Amino acid sequence: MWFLALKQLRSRPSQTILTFIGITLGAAGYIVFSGLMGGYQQYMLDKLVNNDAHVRISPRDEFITRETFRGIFFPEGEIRWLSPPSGRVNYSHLTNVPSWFRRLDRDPRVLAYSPQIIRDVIFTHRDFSVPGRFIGIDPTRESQVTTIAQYMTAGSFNDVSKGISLIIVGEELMKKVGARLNDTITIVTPKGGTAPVRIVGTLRTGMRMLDERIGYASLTTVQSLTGSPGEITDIAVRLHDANKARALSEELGSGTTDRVESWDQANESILFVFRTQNIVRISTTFTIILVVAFGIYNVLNMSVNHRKKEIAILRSMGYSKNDIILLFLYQGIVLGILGSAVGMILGWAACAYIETIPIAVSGSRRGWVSVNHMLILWDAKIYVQAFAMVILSTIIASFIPARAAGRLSPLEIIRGDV
Amino acid sequence: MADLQCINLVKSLMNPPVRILNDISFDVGDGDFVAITGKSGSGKSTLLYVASGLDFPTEGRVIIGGRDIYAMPDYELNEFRNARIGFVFQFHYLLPELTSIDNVLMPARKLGRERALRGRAGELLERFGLSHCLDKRPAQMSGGEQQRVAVARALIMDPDILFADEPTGNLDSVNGERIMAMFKEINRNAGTTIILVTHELDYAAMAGRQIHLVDGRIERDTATHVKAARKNLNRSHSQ
Repeated sequence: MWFLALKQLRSRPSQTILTFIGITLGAAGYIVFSGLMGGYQQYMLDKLVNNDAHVRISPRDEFITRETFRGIFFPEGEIRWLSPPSGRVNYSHLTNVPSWFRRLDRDPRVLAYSPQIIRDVIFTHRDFSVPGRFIGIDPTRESQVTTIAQYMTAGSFNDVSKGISLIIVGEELMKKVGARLNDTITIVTPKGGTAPVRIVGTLRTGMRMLDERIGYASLTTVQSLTGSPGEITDIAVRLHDANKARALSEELGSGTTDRVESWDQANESILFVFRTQNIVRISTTFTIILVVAFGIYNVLNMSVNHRKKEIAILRSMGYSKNDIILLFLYQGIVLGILGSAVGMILGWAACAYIETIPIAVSGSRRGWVSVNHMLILWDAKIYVQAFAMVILSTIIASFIPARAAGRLSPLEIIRGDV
Repeated sequence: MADLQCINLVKSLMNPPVRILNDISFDVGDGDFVAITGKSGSGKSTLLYVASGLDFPTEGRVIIGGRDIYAMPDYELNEFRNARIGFVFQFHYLLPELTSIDNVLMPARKLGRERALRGRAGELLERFGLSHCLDKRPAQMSGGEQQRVAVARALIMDPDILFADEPTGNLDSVNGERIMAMFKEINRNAGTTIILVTHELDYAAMAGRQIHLVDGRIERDTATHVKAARKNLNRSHSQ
């Protein structure tokens, strides 16, 4: 039936071309939409996974309540508090750092880890003061775990370990306190102590939250300036495979008073946004495909009505119901395959063009969110999916009118005409 | 081989309750040329459709070449229609997308024999005076030419029986006569059995045998006496 199917397609060129365009645009739309959404998500996910630690070990915030003392004093009796207990257990740093190091050293999934001490301080310079985080790190180990060293705009990340009281600050922070590179600024700790540090480098991540607040120094600098010698508050861990982060964090977290969190747990809200986006994407692309399918259905349905006489004569010369079904199914499949093939090329071209559209985020050329053009996910899977979905919907959309054509009784048509 | 037997055919409609065919029986021998006549509404077209396997009888059987065509499975009936039967209708029903030679070859295409039979298709069209129309589409031809292409299409598989339902109904007398002349020639030269429905008595007279229907019954069959004679002859042979 191929012969006749192709002849029939060619005999009504305007209809064929319109349907073809519909399928083409449908397939292209699917590809562009999926590429756009996927590009953004992949970029963000990549940043989430690679910029920060895969697993972070930090002190647990533990608060004292009535429940804390249940069963400890007077386990049998009923306790009435005049003033209920409240407060917080002092876990401002990790308790058993060497045992963490041993566990992480042994674990084959761990690529590298970096101990950190993070303290809240106030950065001051002359009359200006900015609250921020004073982070002590070992620059070599930190570079193995996070990408922070890539965002240096002046100096080198390793400079902090070249002496005591050296600091690398976010560019925004430096501006806010009115300092320049190599100026000395003052750190005010919560306990009231002050200490001078010299700015040896700046960095810009593109995230205002970080650029306005962070200052990196060596572990010993932070420990001594904030009066917490030998203390470690965080261990940032990088794994060979980021997908194993959750399993590892659950494993490490059991039986410890410290908090162990994987990157996906820490960024749950962003992942939730991704899931919402995916639902939007799927429903939109589904609608596109549905519209395409209805177009095909419409055209073939009209074609069947138009060709009733021809169906009758084909049946009378011995063509079976299935032959008639194939006649129309083939037409749908030809349109589907050609349309989605051209649609894929069109979608690819559109994606390539969209990728060049500038979306400059002001001033952030090298930061976390440092994209200056649209993001496109180039994944063969999208194209396979687009092709499969279009072909599948074409087959369904052409099978319904084709089956109706196969059911037509030749006699009724002939008799109705004569 | 291709003799056709209709046995007690009844065709009735439920709504409104009408008996279109009322207990019709007749035999057609191999190579006969039979015209079925009658007024409109006499059931002549219905008889043709039932006898050819296009329409189901309410009661009765149709036996062609020794086989009950309504007892055949679908695929066999399709093969049967394809290879053993040809149809010509009042309207030509040519496929508008195809040239006349491709239209003629459509039945052959069912079996994938369109290449093998291309020569025969050309000969048929030439024989019917259509050599100038081989590559024309139906829309480019006259009504008479279209109908002649339709006859060639009915004959491409060299059928045993040709069923024709008012094939001259849409044609002027010149073209009508031409079609009838073609039928006679086919019947004589190829030995194809022809069963023709017509209301034009002139054309019916060209057939070797006429069956006249009135209200779904056979009122007159010019071959009844011939058949009786043949039966007697057979009997005397076998004795």
